[in-house]
Amino acid sequence: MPMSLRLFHASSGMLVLVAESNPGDSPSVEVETRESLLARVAQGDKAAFSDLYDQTAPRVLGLIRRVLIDHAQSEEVTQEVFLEIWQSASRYEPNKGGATTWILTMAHRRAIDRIRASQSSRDRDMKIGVRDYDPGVDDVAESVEIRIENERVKKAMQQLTELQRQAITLAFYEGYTHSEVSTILHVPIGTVKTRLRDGMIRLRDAMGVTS
Amino acid sequence: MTRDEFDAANSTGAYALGALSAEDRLLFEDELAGSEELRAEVAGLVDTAAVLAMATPPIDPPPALKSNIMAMLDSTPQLPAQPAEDVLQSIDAARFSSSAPTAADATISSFADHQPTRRSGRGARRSRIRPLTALLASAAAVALFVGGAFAGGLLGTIGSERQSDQFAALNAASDVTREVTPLQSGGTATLVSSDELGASAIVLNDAGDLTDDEVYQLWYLHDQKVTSAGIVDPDGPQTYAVLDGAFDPDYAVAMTVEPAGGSEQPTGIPVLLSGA
Repeated sequence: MPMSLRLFHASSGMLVLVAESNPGDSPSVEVETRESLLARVAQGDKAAFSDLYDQTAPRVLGLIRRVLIDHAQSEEVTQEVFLEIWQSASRYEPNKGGATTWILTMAHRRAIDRIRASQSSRDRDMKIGVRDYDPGVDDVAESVEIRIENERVKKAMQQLTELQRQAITLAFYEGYTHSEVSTILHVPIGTVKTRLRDGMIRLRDAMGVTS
Repeated sequence: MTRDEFDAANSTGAYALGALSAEDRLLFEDELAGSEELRAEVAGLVDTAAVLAMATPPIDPPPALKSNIMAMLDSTPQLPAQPAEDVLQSIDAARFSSSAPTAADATISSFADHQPTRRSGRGARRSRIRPLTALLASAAAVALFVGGAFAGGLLGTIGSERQSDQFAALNAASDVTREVTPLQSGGTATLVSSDELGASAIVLNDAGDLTDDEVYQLWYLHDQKVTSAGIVDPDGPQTYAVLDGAFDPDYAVAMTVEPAGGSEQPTGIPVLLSGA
């Protein structure tokens, strides 16, 4: 990933995964990294928490909203996520991954836990068809950064088989379990798991994710 | 799905995508803890999932959300940097019967000479005192407690959805342990706990009924002190209640039946569910 892109991220206040996945190569930037902010949050530093919130809350809410659809619930879950960040910042282990990944993983898990805890409130039976991968970027005046990430994912998604792409989209963006995906796509559970794994490995390689 | 059927090596993608059920997630994380190879693959796929997350359009939250959250920080306890070490690895029953006993201490010590048993997981290095009988002659159907560091301010503030989230998180914790205590009534009490999360839950199964003016009360026993960990008033087959305070694996956890509203100190006969 070129340096200029990373500096762009930095100046927009959005340090991204890309920078984190090459820790030995990190540019010195004027914005404090999220890893360092998290370390301060772990010490009870509210100013650091406030900064971290400003940097990541739109990401967190955007992801949760994508999964939950319902805006009010999405804000509730976002609140839970940030309180969990505050509580468990001390348990973040920088050697195990970037802070953004840690936060987004937590946000995604909470979103799907919410969906599964209240399935009746979201009429999942209505979702018969499989939506194409569409994060809805056209709805928003997105930044160049988002467009880049979105293009990156879109291109990588094109390298998947139809079944891999559908299974990953249903699981990640719609919050379905592998057995639900199996029902929706009419394929055995074992096949779904294999497709999810193969598809994710292919995405990882296509997007050049290193960890 | 049983453990034998669970194919961890084929589940890395599903895990990274959050597509495993809570139960499978738990099975998978058990496997993960023991496999460097699995961990390496999962790390890359989790990062990949994060890129998928980054491709969703950000949404600016309303300013009120931030001010709400900031206002809740003071009442939201932070986990300590390191999980508490097992300083008191072998909690012996004597600690509950030493000097300056409270009423609860005395009650507990009265059955401290019951034969301890060994359990798997975290409980394996701990002795255990079997539950006494009288108490659970009148135990309730299913009561679920979620407690620990996430309780208190956070759970109290956010509401009940939080509890199912917490229970799911607890079951997903990499170090989750379950200690099953058979009850005299024929049911079981299971303490589900995670040192890492500082959280615990108690699940009572098939344990009978409480009367209208009785509740269950949970207690932490530590350093010869007894601290209430919350009350639950079962009102159905699946009653959730939140424990106060942080779960610490070095604390014993006990349960009593108390008059409605709970008690300052245990008055019923405690059943030890973990520790001691």
